[in-house]
Amino acid sequence: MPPLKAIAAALCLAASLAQPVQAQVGAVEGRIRDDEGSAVFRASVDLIADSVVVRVAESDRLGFFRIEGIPYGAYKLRARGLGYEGLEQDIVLAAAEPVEVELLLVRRAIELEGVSVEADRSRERIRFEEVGGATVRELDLVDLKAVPGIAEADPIRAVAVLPGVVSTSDFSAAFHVRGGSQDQNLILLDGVPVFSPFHLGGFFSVFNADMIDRTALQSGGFGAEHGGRVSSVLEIESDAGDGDLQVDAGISLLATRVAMGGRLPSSVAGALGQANVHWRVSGRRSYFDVLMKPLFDFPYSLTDLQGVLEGWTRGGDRLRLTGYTGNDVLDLTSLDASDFPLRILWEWGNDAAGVRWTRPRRGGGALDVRAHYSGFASGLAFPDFGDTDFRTAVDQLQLRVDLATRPRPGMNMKVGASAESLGYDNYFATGGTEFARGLGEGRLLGAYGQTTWSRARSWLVEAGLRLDSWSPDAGTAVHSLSPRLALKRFFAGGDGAVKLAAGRYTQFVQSLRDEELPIGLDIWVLAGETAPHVVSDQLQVGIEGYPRPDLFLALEGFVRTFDGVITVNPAEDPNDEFDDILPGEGLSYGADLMIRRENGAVNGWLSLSLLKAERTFPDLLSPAQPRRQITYAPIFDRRLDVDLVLRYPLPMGWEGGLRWNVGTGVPYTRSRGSYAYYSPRFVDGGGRLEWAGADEGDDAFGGYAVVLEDRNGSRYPTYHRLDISVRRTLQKSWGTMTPYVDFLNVYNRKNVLFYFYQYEKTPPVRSGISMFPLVPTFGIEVHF
Amino acid sequence: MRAKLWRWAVSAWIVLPAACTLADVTVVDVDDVVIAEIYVEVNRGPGLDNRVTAFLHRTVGGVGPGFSEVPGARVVITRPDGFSAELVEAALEECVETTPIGGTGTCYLLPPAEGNLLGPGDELQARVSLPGGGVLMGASEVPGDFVLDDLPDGGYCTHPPATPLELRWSQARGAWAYVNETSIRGLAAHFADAALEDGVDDPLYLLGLSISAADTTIVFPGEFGLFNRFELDRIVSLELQEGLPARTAADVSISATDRNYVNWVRGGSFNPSGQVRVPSLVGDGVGVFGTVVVRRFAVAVEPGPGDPGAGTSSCIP
Repeated sequence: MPPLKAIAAALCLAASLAQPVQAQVGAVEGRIRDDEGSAVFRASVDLIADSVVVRVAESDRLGFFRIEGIPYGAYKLRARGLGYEGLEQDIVLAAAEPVEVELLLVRRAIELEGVSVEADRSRERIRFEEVGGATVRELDLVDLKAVPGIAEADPIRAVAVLPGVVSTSDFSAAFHVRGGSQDQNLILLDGVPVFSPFHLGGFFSVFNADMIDRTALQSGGFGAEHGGRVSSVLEIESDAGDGDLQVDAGISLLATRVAMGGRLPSSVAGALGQANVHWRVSGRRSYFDVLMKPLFDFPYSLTDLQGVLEGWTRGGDRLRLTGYTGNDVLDLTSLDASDFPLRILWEWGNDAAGVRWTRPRRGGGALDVRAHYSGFASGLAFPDFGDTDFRTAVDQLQLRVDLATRPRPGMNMKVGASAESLGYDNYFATGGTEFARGLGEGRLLGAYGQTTWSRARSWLVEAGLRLDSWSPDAGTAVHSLSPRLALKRFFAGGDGAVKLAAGRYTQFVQSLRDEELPIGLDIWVLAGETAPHVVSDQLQVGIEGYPRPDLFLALEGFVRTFDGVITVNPAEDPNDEFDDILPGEGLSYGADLMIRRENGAVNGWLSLSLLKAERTFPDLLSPAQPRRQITYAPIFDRRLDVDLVLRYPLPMGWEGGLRWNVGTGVPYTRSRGSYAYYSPRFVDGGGRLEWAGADEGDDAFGGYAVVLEDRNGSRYPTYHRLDISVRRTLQKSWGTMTPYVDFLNVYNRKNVLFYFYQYEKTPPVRSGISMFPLVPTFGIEVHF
Repeated sequence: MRAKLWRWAVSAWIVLPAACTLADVTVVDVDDVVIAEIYVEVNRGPGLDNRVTAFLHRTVGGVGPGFSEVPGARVVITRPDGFSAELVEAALEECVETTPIGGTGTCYLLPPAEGNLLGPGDELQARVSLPGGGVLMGASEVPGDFVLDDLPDGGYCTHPPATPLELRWSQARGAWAYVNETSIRGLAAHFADAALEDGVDDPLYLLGLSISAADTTIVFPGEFGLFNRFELDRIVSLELQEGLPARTAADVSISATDRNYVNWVRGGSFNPSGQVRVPSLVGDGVGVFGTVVVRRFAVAVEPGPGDPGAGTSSCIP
């Protein structure tokens, strides 16, 4: 069935299902705000009948909540939020029209235990009940800090513990979702797309966990509102704080960091047209270069600055500003020339800024207007050689409007449009010649509409349509229609559901980074004359639910195609400016299982991912023209990946965290043999061959090339690693202090990073290097 | 040595901050693969014959003397107009200047009388028939001819010291790149009093590149030595940016190269075990069938700055 017809049929089905709801049951909805007018996010709303909690809900970013499908009768509505006095209100449902309430919570100094857990539980549950197609897995700050990390909590590295996510190396925070490439993940900081959000070539993410409220990964089935990437959407939300003056600081083996927040004076807020304005800013910097300065010049440093400002008007409008800038510097210019003869200055980093104005609508929904800028740039310079210019840059400017409405009970609608301008500039020249050049711009106009019909705890239907119109400055314009459809059928009284989601996804910007290198920088290119755009068709089916109130279980199968993926052409013709990039295809299929226990002293989750991924490209090593196509398993084709994450109490108030990861080996290309590599020397060798290496004693340096087997025809051994963390929060008169220790790879498993085949040795041997050995890291965090 | 330690330390810090060597080292079998490197070098300059050589060797790791040699092969070069010539076995030194310790192979050479029948723009095929059976085949189009601007092919020029020399030449049709080499003499004496960490080779070989047929300029000697910048002493590097020092001399060659040559030297995708080459000879082995058109000249810097005659440049054929 063509996609549009399928959507139309689904809409009719949904409409017929939704109709009877109005006649049989009622609903309650409203907003929860504090005494300053700010929306209370994640307030827990309980609907109580005869002292029994019959339904729960949670307020969204704008303080809105809704509970539907409630039989007529008298109820008590209880609202609770962290840092607020609880509030109860009686309501009577006697008509199909929703009962509207406006709840004002009063701030309170002491927090009640249990509210947070309850809120977490309800949030997970609400997502299960309200989200039809998207596979959303969320990590909040507590989760992020419980997952043992390298040096400090990392919002992106932590994503690797979720089902469907593959990380190929300990050295890279980059991740692959359900057979997609790492550049196919849309990473949003407060809705602002961020390119290549990594320090040290991918070793750490750029996000300071202290600034993060939550990280949510949509690993598939995401709605029509999201465009621009085909594989996943990772939403990272900053925490604007509650307005109280607070400081979070920490020191780890990586960096020192501080985050502080507060509120603008009323007069300033008023001058800005706001009732109150909260803000939080953070700075993070590595310190080895400063610490080692008396001894030697440590050449690397990283710096992050991040900020968020959130203002609320008396009428409940929200204004939110987000900013990030980060920079990595590898500075080898000040080293003694006798120590290091080549002076190098290499810098790279991101800049991102966004402004967002949101006006809530009565009855739910909102009008959202956004403007974003995001850019990533890297430059490598040899100050002694003015002929060298290595640089890469990409930037994006976006204007976007979204309107969400709830026209009637059981029905949500959202429409939106965006206009984007993208540009990239890649240039590699030295020694008076240009090795590579890529320069281009494009404009992307996007529009979408999506609607959801639901009968509470019975059916949920989502349908959407997205139109993207891409106009590169050179090349053919692309108009892409991307339908999305999701069905969810609840059973077991609404505690279980089967679901199906299908859709088409498109992407117009891609990275040329060699994913087989454990770390590296992205080199972004836009679709146009030299590179295609990606079209991915995806289907997923699953079953999920709550066999017990505190136990969530989800099993999903998926299949995806990727048309238009790219790789660098190593045999490009320097006389042809259009053959630098080779287009290819991809296919992936598999299944993900997640079992999550959300409450109790010991909680956490088990995720299991099955994957088979393929890429088809022209044979890079074939001299024939045109080259034959070869299909191979990409490096992220980890067939089985299991993650166990636990959080548990330890004696004397310590908290423990554990992550055990096991994955089958990823593919690599084995060397069948090596040979001495020669180069003709014309200037003084008369055209005779010179061996390109150098003998030093019994060892040879360089000078050998390899004969390879079929691409990625072998696999490394099974990967497994156990990480643990312990932390304890100590109450002090001035605040809290939390020392922590993380142990990565507790049993020192030698997971293989690379094999080296050294055929020039006698006898020929295979050696290699491993990923992380046992690495203890520690740090301390303070809060006041 | 200190510089090397620094390089290794920095590289290790950047690439593998916490990795360690795997404890298990496994003895592995090696596949016996023939490597054929065939080069056709035409229009080498006044008084020089064309050179057509084939160097056949094998993957390393075999046991016993002579393992890497491939004697008794038939290497034939053909052209669509019916030209066909077979290379004959020759002394190893005819093909190879330096080898790794114990490295060897078998050299084949086309007699000059036949080699001189080849020229720029020729479409050539190469076929290697191995003695034990097996064939490698490839094809190449020799780049078009080109001339150096204001410089005599095979001639000699004098040039002022500390003055960059911009080299220009005409386009060679079909060339994928120009490989620009120089061998500079007299630097050891010039830097004798300088505090060089590792000294300087004399002669000093430097390689420059001009990529694409249309890139027909390079500044000598500053833009040579792209791949030597990690090794060359900084004092030497900086001074060469300004030009050749006084009382030095250099041989310079500009070679228009074909697709096969470029693909073979620039390498392919990443592999931790060694460099990956894009071959142009395929079949029962791998290798390259590269063709080049070469122009040469020599330059001397005499006399030194301040001496009579400094600041002038002249060439003789």
